[in-house]
Amino acid sequence: MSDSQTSVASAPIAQAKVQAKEALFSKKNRRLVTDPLFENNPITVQVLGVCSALAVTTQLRPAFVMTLSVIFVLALSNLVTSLLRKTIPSRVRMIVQLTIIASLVTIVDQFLRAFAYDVSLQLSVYIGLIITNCIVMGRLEAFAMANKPWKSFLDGVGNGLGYGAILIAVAFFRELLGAGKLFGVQVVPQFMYDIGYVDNGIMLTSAAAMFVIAVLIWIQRSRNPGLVDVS
Amino acid sequence: MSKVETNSYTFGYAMVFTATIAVILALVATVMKPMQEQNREHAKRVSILSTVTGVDGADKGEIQVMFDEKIEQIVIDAEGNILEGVNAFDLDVAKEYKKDAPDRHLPLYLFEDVSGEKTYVIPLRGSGLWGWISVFLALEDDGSTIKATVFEHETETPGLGAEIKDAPWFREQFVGKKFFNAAGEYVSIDVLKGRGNSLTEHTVDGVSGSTITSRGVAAMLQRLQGYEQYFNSLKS
Repeated sequence: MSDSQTSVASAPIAQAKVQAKEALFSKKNRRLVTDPLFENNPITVQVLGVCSALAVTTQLRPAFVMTLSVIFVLALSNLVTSLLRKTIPSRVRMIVQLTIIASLVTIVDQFLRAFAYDVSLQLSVYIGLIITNCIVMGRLEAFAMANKPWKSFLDGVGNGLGYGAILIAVAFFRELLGAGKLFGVQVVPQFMYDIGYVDNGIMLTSAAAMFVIAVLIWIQRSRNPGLVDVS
Repeated sequence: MSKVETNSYTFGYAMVFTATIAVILALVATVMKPMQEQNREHAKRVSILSTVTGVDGADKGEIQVMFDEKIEQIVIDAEGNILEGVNAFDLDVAKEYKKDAPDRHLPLYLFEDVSGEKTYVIPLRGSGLWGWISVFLALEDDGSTIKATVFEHETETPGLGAEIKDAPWFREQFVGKKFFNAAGEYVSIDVLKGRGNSLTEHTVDGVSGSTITSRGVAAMLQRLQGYEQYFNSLKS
């Protein structure tokens, strides 16, 4: 066949291929990141991963480090699982997923001990508990096992951000009302204490975290009635 | 059955997957180790210094300088003799306690403030519920009265066993307690069950709901007896 004939024949096929490949940040892909922030928030809507939301939110700094750790673990384990999804034998599916998650969490733990030692002491047990965080296993099973790598990565980032948004919101109120500080910096001015203002000690307990999360769920569902009977 | 579902594939996959993960994790741990070691040593210096002087706001370099200048390191044997050529800071206290009592080398740190007043900082180690626990005790030069304590633990339960470190009331109640009674006998300091007990010079309250950790603290404090010979020799 002559060159001109092959190029004419292959042009429509090439064009079709270009149309089928989706842009990296297409609208659907962007929604993978933004949906879990509100409509499909892992904590307030899917009601997953609430345990650690209680434990690490007494102050903003550990909540922030926990958020970054979870985003890292979630995005990468989603990515790795998605890359391997067609090779994993179904009989060891859960074990392989768990190993991926556990390895990434171990890497995060080692990293924290080397570069943020004081925070790693504060978060000691909870970093290990990311392995058992329902959000991670949940997304792996529900999304990464059935979707392509890039989409899975974005889904991991989105859910991590949604989780983090709630963590930081809860920590904001707990540290502000419970200790008068934000990120360790005194925010409530001394004159308030002088006129009789007292830090709310209950905010330092886990029960307070439950209340704050409950209020956040309430606000979210009032603004979006479609979510009322979701879970 | 597709290729992915056969027994041999499953088996082989598991082997290769596990081996790869093992190599990656080993690499990460090896690369991170030096930095982690530095962090641990820095934390140890801060713990020791904080029992005798203020450490707020000092950076790592300043802490190192403070430690080297102000703290004298001493290693003793079971009879209270000072051993030369051994560094107290590098001594692995956990390993020493695995040896028989007569073979142990024990570290202690001496701090002398501007007025010449001496404080002995003694590291002790024991077992909590889930892992190790440890304490740095700052003692007055009678070798008996506590001036300050800093507790550490490996993985005690937050809110329960971990309170030995996190709750100021726990460590502050040790201030002024004595290991030796008026007759000079070693009686140690006991940790009673729960809070609200009536206390003496030789007892403190435990953490409510964490019996095993509290017992671990009491057992750990018993180990101060290893320094009894040394302190007696100082008095004579």
